[in-house]
Amino acid sequence: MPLRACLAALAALLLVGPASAQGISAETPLRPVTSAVAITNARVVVSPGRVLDRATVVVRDGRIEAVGERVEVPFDAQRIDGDSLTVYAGFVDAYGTAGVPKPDDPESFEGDRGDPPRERAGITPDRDVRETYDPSDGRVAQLRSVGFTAAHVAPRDGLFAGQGAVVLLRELQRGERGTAVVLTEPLSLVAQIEPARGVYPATPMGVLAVMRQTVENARRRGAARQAFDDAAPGAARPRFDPALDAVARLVDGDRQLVFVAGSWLDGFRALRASQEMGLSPVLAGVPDAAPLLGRLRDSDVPVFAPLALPDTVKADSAALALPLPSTTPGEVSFVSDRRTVSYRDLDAETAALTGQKRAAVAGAEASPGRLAAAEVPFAFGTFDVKPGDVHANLRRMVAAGLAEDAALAALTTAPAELLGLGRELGTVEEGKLANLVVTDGPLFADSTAITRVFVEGIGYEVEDKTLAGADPDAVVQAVGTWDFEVTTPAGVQSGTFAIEGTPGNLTGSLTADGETEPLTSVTLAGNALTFAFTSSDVGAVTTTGIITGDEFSGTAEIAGLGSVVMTATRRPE
Amino acid sequence: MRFLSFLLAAVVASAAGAQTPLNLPPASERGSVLLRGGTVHTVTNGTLEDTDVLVRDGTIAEIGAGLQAPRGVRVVEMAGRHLMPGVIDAHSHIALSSVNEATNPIVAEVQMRDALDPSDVGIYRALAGGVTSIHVMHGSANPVGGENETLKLRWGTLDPDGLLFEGAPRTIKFALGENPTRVHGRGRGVRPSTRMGIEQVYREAFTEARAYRAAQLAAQEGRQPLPPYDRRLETLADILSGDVLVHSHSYRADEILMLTRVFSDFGIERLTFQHANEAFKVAPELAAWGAGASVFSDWGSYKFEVYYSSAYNAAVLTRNGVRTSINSDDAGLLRYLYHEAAKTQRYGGLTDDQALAMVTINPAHQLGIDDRVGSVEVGKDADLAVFSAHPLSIYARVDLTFVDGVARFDRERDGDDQRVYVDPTEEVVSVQSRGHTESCMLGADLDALVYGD
Amino acid sequence: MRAPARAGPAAGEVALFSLPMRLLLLALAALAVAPAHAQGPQYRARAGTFALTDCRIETVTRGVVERGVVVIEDGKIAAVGAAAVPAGAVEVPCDGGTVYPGMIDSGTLIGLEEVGSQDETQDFDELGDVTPQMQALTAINTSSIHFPITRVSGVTTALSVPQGGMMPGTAALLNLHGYTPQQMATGFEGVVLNFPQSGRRGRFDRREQEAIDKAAKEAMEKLDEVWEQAALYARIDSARAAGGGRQPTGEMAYQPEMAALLPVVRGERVLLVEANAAADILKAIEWLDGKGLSAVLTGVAEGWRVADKIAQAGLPVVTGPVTGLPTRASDRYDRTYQNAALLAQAGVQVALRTDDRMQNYRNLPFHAGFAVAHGQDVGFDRQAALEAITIAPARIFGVDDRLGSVEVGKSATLFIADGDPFEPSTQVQAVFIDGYQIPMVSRQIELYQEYLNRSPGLTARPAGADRQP
Repeated sequence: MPLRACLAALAALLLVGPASAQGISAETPLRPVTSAVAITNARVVVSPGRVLDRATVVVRDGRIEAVGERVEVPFDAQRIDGDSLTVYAGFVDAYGTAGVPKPDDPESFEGDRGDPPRERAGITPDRDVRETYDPSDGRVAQLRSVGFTAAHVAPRDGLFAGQGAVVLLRELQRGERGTAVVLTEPLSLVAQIEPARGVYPATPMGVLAVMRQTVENARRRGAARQAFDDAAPGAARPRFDPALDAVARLVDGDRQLVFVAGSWLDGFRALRASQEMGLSPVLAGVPDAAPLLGRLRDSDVPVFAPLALPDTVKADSAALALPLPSTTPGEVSFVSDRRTVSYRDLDAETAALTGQKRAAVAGAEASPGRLAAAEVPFAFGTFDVKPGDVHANLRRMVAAGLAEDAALAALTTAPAELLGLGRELGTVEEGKLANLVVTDGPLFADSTAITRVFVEGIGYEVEDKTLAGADPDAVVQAVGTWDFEVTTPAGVQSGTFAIEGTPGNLTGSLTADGETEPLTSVTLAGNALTFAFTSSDVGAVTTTGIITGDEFSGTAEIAGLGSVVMTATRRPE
Repeated sequence: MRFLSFLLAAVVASAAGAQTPLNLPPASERGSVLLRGGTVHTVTNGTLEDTDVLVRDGTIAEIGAGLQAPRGVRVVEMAGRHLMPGVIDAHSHIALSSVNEATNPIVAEVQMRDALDPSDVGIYRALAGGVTSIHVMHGSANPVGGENETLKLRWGTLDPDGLLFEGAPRTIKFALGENPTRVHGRGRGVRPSTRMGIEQVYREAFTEARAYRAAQLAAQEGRQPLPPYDRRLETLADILSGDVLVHSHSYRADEILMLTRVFSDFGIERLTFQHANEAFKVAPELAAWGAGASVFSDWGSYKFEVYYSSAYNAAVLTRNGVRTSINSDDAGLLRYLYHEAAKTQRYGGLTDDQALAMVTINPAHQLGIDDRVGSVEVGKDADLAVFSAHPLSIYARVDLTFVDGVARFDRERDGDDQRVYVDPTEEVVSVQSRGHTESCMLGADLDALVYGD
Repeated sequence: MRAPARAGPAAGEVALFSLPMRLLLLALAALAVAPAHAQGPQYRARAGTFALTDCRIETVTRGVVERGVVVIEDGKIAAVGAAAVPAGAVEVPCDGGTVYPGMIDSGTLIGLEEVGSQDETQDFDELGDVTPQMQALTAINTSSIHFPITRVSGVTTALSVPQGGMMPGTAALLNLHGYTPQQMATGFEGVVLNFPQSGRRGRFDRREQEAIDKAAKEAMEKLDEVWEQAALYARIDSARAAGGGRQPTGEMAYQPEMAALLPVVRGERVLLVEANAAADILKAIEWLDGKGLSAVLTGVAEGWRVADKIAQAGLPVVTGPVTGLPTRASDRYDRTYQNAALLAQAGVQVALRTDDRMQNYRNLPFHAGFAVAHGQDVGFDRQAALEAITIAPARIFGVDDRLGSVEVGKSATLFIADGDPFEPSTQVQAVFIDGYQIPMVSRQIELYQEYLNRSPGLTARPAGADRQP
């Protein structure tokens, strides 16, 4: 059930150079020397499962001009040696809000709370995301740097938040206006169970009541207008109502209902409400879709799955030793072996609770895999994920059972198809928009980095991961004795580390639990401190963080396991 | 070195199986069981000693002596134990994401069905008190609060629809007295601010609903385009046509009489007063009108309009012929409604069957589900509670609770942490709930919604 | 424990006078025909010499007398068991009913609150965070309807506790009959400390963890600071008393808070320490350690988690409501029912409270019953529960020489019931407080009597009187 794509405007958006002579400031980018790029001898993943081991990809004027093992490199192309590189189709964000301004918090409302203006109530189906989309928003660049090249973006707030459209995640070129990166007409209408604050509808149940009434009245509106146009005696005059007109396009099938649900519970509500309103939704959100699988499959509803995941839960051995109940489906399985009889069993209780939480996190990690197994069509959306977490989260999802090809499909072909853009996006094929992700290895491997991203032929080099708050020009001191704390759900572990030496020649040691280990690779770049050490328990640990005054804030990354927050304070001399 | 050793464990953990909600029987399950040789409180047909009850596919199939369990059917030995119909609470606010749409005096259009939360562990705790059905209601912020929902406690389902009591009539919450006048009149200058005003709010609303329904019907008959759809008036019109039963929050005698007069004038016939602390003062009028009462066993003094309450309310009402139930309105109290019913023996000396009826057949009748549940009778749903002793004794414990013949609570197999869903971002918190909050008023503080609390 | 076969009308039959009801009416009738009051129910308590005859007696401390007499003279219990009826004594036949010591609710708002949510009738929370000088006894409204409602159930004694800030005031143990607070006072008073909470206050507490930690730290610092001042005040006061010529003379500086804490610092007055979360209980134990105070832990909702530590510290506990919800979503459904039992099993001395914001202190015996129903598996039997609402609180509050059991020489504060008072079907036949026979009336009973067969009942309305315009 692909979204209806409206591509009429596409031709006009192709790179045809600046429309007119314009003033030039210090920030104005240089004119490009060429619009052609060739990545040679690269491994090309044309689409999930279709791989060319040693091929060349030629890009020109925003389109893929050629892909193949025997493609000639045009004379005017910028050449990129792809010997050690892999080219994937650029990711398509099935649902995101990058570049969409956050609404202001509502002011106190002085009028009748029971009858607020429709904007305050969240009934803004006529709002068009294209009018507020800002390509210079920082999140756009962040998402691009992790591989996203196009995104279905939508207004954020309200029960009928407004209409979404697909944009290209690139910067404006010389002479372009913001609308230049808009790829499609509005194609979706976003609904969400989002109560208005302090005014009607202030509850989820109020929201659903308003939705049903609005949709029914949008249906009736057509007949009423027809009757008036036919001058039927006594027909009521249709009132100006842009909200109902917008919802009427949903009812008529000109817009796809995208129902955003933040939980499986709202998912059930959204599915039932959609069914009652006679609409076929795409369900967007739902971190753990397991409870909904049957419903989704039975009702042929696709899913925009979130890339965010809950933090991992660290467990101690007691939590792991705990006998867990039968998992045979359909079997009555009260948890009879988790009795906390008294104060003597508190460790067991903690272990059991940790186990429950672990299972809940595992449910979110396994959710995309379960969607795939249940053959529910789904694509990944960025929603509110931290861009830096995207690839780690994808790896967790793959580890939890999602096939790599399915994961790649959910980033490329599936969103393109579901958004009705299968002819333009999603694969590395001739004629498609030149949206590409270039990596230095297999996409879902730990060590792989994205080196370049192309959006409509415009290339972006991806810098090495930098720490938030890092300032290469800052001057700070690392030397001293630091008291650190590592915070995990299992508790706080503390200890000290000492740094000595001079910049460029730093050494140190770390002490915890009465044992001391030497630090290796101690480096200070600007205000970013990095060091590593080896723990006899968990192996290599790499710590990176930012020094501000006498405070250190960063992470400790344990190889193959993930990272935990680490903070430290320097002892006074 | 033990540094970060707890992280090591996580590596090993990845393969461990874990409980998921999918383990519990689905809502559609219908169970069979033989309950052999117990004391059976039928409620409607007296108490039967040493009697067997056979449940087949979720329905009470036979009651008698020497019954045989079909092959594969579980047998529960009931010697020394007591069986009664599952407890029914006519007034609950558990298993809900929201309670009050407090923004307008009349919000007939909102539905509890849209706010159900099947993962509330309160459901399990209610089952542990023998409860099998609850009536989840809107709060009392508004004269018309919205449509309620009657549920079966099929703990384990995560689909809210799995909790629905199929075929139960629609019901709606009304509220009189201090709460609506405080929220709207005194709170924000919108009528009603007095009990006089509440009456007129109803009369105006019903009059509008009548006109609305007439206009819709006229358009239909005249093959004209339908006028705009208004779910609020639609629902009120459904009350007028008898399709929705009214349950009205009320305390004082005068307001109780007011609503009966309004309903008489508009031809509405089915009415149950909730709380109704002063119903005993107008018991003869209620009996004559045919209204029911669903009351607390002994609550009073928590606000001025309940200062003149009496724990003998249920007894006076019963003796005057008013069909009366005892409800919880509280997640804690819900777990021992059988004990609340027993208090009618201390406060008014009701018989065992009268007391048990307060939490079984009488609320079933008030909810319009008495043909399905509320007594132990052949053909009724096997919603049953097994007690270790006489259910009106303080020393009784619930051993087993069946919904549709499925054991949804089994004390033998109970343990810690029965949640079916755990929020992975939630911390383990100990919740201090000292004293009682009027759950009827949850979400009624609109400023808290705007500015946070 | 409940008789399996019970007399009673058949289903559906309207039982105007079931057995318990008849007993109640008999009791009322007995009062009504008392010589001094020719007409109507008795409204005033009576003093005198009473002989309770044909009684079963649960003394609590000295076993059960299966058939005997209790003689009340000069407000005290003069005889228990096989005693003769003194000449001139008013005979109160138990008719086989059982005499119990009056039940003690160890945590209420009785007399300090009349109507919940009506501020004007609430006198338990004074402005200020540290106000130990606020005395419950000052504001006890002896005319509160809750005194009669509570005492006719056999709950004769209750601790009335100021609520609110860190040290909201001084609680008082009251006998629930009297015309002045002083007449009600039993002699026990204790200063309340709401120990700083380190965790979230509830599901609706959405503060950031840092904010919670900060608030908890500040509260602890404040408590320590107050206590330091109180200790200093006490030291100066002692030095002054012992000082002779070297010390300055005259009054202590006017410092009412510290003056109120003085006897607490010296261990002469009980400090009632409210703590509920396990972590807070441990913190409170740690805080109390070495201070030499006479302390009682109250609330203690999660006491079972740290029962061994409480027992080690030798602190008595007042816990309840027994029928409350478990504190955590992951707790077993019956955890709160079992808390008292699990504490007792670990060796903690336990008293129960209702702490009921609906003022249903009359439910105290039901709380005790629930503690038995769910605690007997770990040894908390009916006797243990009965002690937890009689002699145990009497001991904890240091009034066991007067209250808490049916023993010769103790205050005649007791009641007669026609069965196990924990059972809802049981009726309380008579109540004595300090030797006064209490009228078995309350507003709730009066309303019952007035409205059961209301007159006029349903009558034809005057024409037009009820019409709508």
